[in-house]
Amino acid sequence: MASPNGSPSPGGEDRTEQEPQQSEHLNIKVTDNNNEVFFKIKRTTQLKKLMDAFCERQGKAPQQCRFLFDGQRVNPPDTPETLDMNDGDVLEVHQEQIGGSC
Amino acid sequence: MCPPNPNKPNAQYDDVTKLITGLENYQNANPDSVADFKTMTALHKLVDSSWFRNRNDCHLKSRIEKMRQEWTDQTMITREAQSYSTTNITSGKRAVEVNHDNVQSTFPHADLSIIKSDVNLRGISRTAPVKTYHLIAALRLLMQGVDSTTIYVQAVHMMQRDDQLVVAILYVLNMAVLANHNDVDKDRQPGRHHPRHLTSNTVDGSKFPSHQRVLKEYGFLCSCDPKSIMSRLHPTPYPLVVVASKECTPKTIKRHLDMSVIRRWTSGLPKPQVIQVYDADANAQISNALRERMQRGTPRLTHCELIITSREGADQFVEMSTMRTDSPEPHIGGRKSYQSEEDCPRFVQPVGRWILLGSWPDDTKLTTVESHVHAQAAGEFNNSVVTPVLHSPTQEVSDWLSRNFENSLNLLCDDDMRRIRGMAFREDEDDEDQSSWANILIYPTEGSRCITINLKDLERLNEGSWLNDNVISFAMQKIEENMDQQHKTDVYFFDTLFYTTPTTKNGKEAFNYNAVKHWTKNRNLMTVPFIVVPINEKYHWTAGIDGNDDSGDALRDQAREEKASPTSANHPILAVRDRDAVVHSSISTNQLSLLTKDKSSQTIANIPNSRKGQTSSAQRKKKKLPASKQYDADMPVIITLFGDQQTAAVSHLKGYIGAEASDKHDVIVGRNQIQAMTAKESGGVRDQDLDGELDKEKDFESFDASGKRARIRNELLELYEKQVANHKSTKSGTKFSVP
Repeated sequence: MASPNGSPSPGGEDRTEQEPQQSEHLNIKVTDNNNEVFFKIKRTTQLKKLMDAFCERQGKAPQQCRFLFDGQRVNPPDTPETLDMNDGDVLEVHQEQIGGSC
Repeated sequence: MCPPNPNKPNAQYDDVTKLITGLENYQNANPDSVADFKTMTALHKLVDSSWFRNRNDCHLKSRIEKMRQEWTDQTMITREAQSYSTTNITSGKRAVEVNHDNVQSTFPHADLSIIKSDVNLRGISRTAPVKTYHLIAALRLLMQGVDSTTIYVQAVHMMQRDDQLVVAILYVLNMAVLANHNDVDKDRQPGRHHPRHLTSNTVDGSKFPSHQRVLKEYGFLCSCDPKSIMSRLHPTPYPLVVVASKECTPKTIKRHLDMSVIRRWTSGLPKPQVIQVYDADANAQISNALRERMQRGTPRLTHCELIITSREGADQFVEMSTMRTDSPEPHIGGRKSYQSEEDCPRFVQPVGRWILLGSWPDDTKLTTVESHVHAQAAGEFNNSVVTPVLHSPTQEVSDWLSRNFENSLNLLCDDDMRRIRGMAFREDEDDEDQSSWANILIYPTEGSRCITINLKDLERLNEGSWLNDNVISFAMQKIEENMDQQHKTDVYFFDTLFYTTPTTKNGKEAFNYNAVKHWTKNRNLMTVPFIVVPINEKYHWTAGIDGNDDSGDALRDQAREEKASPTSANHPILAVRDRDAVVHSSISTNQLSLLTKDKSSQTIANIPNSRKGQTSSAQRKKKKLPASKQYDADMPVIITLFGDQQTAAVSHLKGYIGAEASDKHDVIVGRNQIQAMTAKESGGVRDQDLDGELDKEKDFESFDASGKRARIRNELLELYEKQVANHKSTKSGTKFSVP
């Protein structure tokens, strides 16, 4: 999925310039208010991976989980880089909301 | 064949016996016949089933064994059957896909629809494969001779984890066979199997139009448990024959019908009327009633009728409906001889596939049907609904079908089918991504406020379903996009999770500003005139609209010009709220969907506007609260619609404003300074030309919730297709191309 060969990013060259400034790996806390899971992930890794991992660990259906970073929805192809995440940032996990009216 | 024994409680046995007899007859008549793998598998499963073992019926078993033995000689078939049965143990879409290809390549004549139903059956009653398999055998038997699409479309619809149901379906299938027999020879008694007829059907592969018509005219819906049907009943153009068990009193059935069916009925179709609720034992009653109808010369039921009857009653119903078949062709030796080419059945060689969604009212738009197909496809994804597939190869056939239906018939072509399959089962070549994110739509493709919509969410757009946050978000996104450029900066849309986040902590209600403190780190809410807060609470969707007008002088001026009515209310918060969403009906989605409404931004005043179809910016500006005497123009105002139960929401919103103001801007806004009002009491909210109170029945009357749902669905599908196309074109790039 996110294999280096499989997804050559057009921005690869730029990244090498940035890398010295920021550490390559980030620690990210994922919490759903009851559980906290820490992930260490690369800046360029799609968060899909992390989301899948969290869901799997918590036994949740990915389709029913909503990941938020500072109130912003996290989409599977997002990466910490695109979301401008920093070390120690928190991803909130919310449940799907459903509802109707009377 | 065992005559039905009233003392024997297990009707299932009779059905199985009937089935086996039918198969035997077929086999005897066709010594060279090749059993299809499904029949084989079905037999195999049947013998292995615990049900069968418990019965300990040696006689029947030996019959089945013999049958299997004969057919097993067809080695290729057997091998295929075995591989089919083993590979299919794994469930899930991947397996389905594989098997589907497998089946198609090996059995070019295999009916896609039967496979699909197989897939669905297995998915649903995975724990009890025998039931599904002997059901499939029955279906298969029928399929060899008849286009029984109608029947099993309905059958699959009601497929549940319900043992009795299988019995009931079998029963219906048998009835269909009987109907077919009647077709051949009206003088024969129904209830007997006529192998020759089955033979003739199978050998030349022809199908009898009159039978077809019977099935088309009388869709069957059977269940021993009306509850299970009603929960997944889809709009059907056919009269419904509910085969209910004797335990079900008419009252029970009627109640369920009232509760579910009628409410779920598409707005496009007339609501069904229960013409008569027959007592479970009232065979004579139904016969008489039907006979009477026929004598009156109006035997054909209209599609908005429901007949509830017992199994026996349904049997007679079929019997009678087939008796009046008007096919003039003589039957010679069990085969039909056709007077002219014109009369020949047209279903001989299936070369293309069509989706038959049934007949719809004449003015139904194709898009409506399409959206139902899509909904069904999405449902299929969840193993809940199968898309009916009808063989109809040529234009001729569709013409024929159209001619033979009173209501207009909408057929969708192969492309649609592919499209749908592409949705449900991603046919992309890159197998790298089979994760749970395979079927997502990300919209918009750029920007920070993308939302992820799973295709499963399409189900949420089905009539009567509750909406989920993704759908709401998408709709809000659309609203935002459709707003005039100049107003876009005036409105800030919060995420649907915004309200929930600070107000619940560990499942309990509490207010915790810190939870959302970061949400607005890049945004100064105090400068945004209107803030939309979708609220999901206790399974209700609601919107709060927070209008901060203090920085919007220009806007206000503009509004004043446009409306000639001064606007005010610096911080109005408008909470549009629905009550008591426990019982959900399509009408009620009006209120719900007003959040997701058309071009204008969703504020209270433009709801009535939309009733008048006005979407100009001037109208939109009506949302600005006209200066109201009783409210201080400099202070936030909370406005609520529909009711008095939103005090908690108001309180939370107040709390949020206060906290946000003091935290980010060092402004103290006391709770008392924030006023709340409901739309009902606030003349201020309403414009002069909007007469009367905001009555939810009245004001949302014109809002077409179903239409909105369909539109959103279409938009989603289009976007998804675009995304797929985009993805394909930029395949060398990243998986999810972000332009």
